[in-house]
Amino acid sequence: MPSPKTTAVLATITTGLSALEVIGETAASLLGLTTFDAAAVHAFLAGVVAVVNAFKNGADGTLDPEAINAELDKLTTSIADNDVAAGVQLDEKFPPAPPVTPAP
Amino acid sequence: MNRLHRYPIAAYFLLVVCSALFATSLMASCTSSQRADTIHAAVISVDAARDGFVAWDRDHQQSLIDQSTSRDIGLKALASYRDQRQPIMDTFEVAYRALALAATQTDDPSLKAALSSAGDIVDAVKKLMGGL
Repeated sequence: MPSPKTTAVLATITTGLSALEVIGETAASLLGLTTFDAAAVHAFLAGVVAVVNAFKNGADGTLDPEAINAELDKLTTSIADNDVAAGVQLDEKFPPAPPVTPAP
Repeated sequence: MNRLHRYPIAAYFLLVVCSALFATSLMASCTSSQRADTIHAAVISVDAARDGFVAWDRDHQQSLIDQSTSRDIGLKALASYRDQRQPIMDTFEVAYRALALAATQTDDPSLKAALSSAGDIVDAVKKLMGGL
């Protein structure tokens, strides 16, 4: 059985190769893109910030499990916000019917 | 037409995830703490998948509402999509929990499980974004 270090190195190489393969495919696809999308740009910038933070955090070699769990909380909160926003948009497009009051 | 042309956010998502994976893979291979850096790389890839997914989710729900011709149809479309979305949310949770666990351990199985979970969520998000 390979040592944990060997496993980590192999995983790193595998990940890097997979990334290279998909980067090529994605770069080719992006050449056909003309749509400017603020959300996509935001996602891209978030990725850049994440990489920069990884370099910064990786300098001391520590991992904080609580910080990892906090990332999950961000997902839950953001999706809940999306659901609320979608509900508001639906109400704006199709206002809900007023409640029916019983005839006297 | 290439499927990614119709889904610009999906294309950007792939670019972000792959850039993050590539950069952090290089980082991991150049430092002494292989395990910590490998977990960092996996966390970044899952974070990138999350950010791309959140942006896509917002746009997709908006498009469902735009395509709806009545309130009932809109409500049904949103409910149907959210049912499809739930397994993705569950997979994100598994991935983050596995990474948090791996960060507290030193054994090989926890690292393998965390990396597998991280790969699973990236694949699942790509599949959902490309298939809807």
